[in-house]
Amino acid sequence: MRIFDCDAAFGRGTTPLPGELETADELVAELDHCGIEQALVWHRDARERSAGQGNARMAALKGHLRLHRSCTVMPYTSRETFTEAELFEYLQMEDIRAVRAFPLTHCYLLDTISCGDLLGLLSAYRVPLFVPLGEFHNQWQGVYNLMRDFPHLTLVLTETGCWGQDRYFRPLIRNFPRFFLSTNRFETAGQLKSFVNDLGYERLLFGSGLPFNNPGGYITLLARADISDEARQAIAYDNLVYLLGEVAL
Amino acid sequence: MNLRDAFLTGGGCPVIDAHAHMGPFRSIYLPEAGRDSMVAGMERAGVEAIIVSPHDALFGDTREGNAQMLEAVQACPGRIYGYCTIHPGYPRETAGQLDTYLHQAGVVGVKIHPASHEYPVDGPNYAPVMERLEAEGGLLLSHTWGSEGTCGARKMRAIAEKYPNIRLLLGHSCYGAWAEAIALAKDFPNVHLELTAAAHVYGLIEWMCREAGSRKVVFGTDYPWFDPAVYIGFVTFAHIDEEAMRNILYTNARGLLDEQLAKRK
Repeated sequence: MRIFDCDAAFGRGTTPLPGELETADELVAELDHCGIEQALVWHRDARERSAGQGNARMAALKGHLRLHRSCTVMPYTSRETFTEAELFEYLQMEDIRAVRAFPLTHCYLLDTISCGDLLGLLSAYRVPLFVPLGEFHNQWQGVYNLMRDFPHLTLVLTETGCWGQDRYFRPLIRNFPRFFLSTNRFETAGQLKSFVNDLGYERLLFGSGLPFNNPGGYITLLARADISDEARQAIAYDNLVYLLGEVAL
Repeated sequence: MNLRDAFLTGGGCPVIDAHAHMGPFRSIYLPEAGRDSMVAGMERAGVEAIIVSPHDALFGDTREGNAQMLEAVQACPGRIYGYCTIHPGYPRETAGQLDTYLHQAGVVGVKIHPASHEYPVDGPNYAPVMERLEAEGGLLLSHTWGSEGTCGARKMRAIAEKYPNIRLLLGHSCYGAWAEAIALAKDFPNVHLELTAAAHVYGLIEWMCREAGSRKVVFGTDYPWFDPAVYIGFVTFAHIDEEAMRNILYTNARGLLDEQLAKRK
């Protein structure tokens, strides 16, 4: 099973973790241990210090061909980061095909009023936006509002919680073809098989959650789930490749 | 083939899950909540046995839940073992529930949930349970969470000090208060760290094994909440040796179970 991880981080954060991956080399060593071929990566500074500092840290990934950069975005309202035009020029120039947002930590609302231009452009260029569930104000209601207002946005929800949240996310899967889930914290017994049987496998992306989560659980689950090999490989690798290939910068 | 790869391809080693439930639960989608589907899930994941306290025992009428537990134990001997759940809000029922269930074949201990039952683990309504388990060297699975609260590490330390003969499983290993939980397992011979909810934390199993030793870490999943395959993977991908993995997945729980089963012969 080839694995492309959509959600791995490195760097030293504010709070010491039981398992630290401070450098890109350490992250690669752990990916090797787990048999993960490639990863879409962010730096902990992007969430815990500032978006700009985190994005600057991504330079450390140059030379690591298996690690793909993602850029952390914020609205331009306070003039602290890229304008929308600058952002898309930067993404194109650096060949960055995914962005992340941490609105709760960075104190803004991921909505039409605060981020309308940004979200509109991400939708138009099909750039996937990765956001942890816990970073939405009002949690699931925030996700619902965002997808209602930007139905063409490619949203990948990460860290969706370990306690079978299907009643929340299945309506989003059914109503919004560009809504995706990371398997990071997809831990409920029988949940993966049930999801694939009912809704297909196209909207699930393997995510490790490193260095916060132990990837081994999600790998073992995927390897052992009672689903087709086609579904297994799509979730582990192909769906993310397809998503990144759709980006039209 | 190493143990990790064996589990990935359908093999592995025996597994015992010392922290399981049964039946539907209000706020979680649980596609494998029924007894038969749980046994099928155990077969698929390679789990030899589980020890259950049904959700109805914890979040409904404890008496009904305990009856469900015994029914499951008797229907699946050797595959399903049971905990008698005690609700501190109904102290007059405690002695009767313990007398009814604790010496039934396959009922191997007591489960308490001080958080959901909103009652401190060191409160007087739990004392009859503790005293009985202390006298018998009984097995207790307590929900534990954090450092403070009804069942945080601070109160669990007081319990371990007062009742050293209880075989105490720290359910969830005092989630978040890792250093305190690990210190408890290190300081008290009969205190064990249980992995439910905790095992996803990258590097934690290694820390537990390094400080407390792999003989003090017990496999559990809240099944049917968490998929046994996920939790097996958390253990087998950890940076620990295979003997430690086997201790966690099987040997430690087997020892605790066998000790209790021997008393019931």
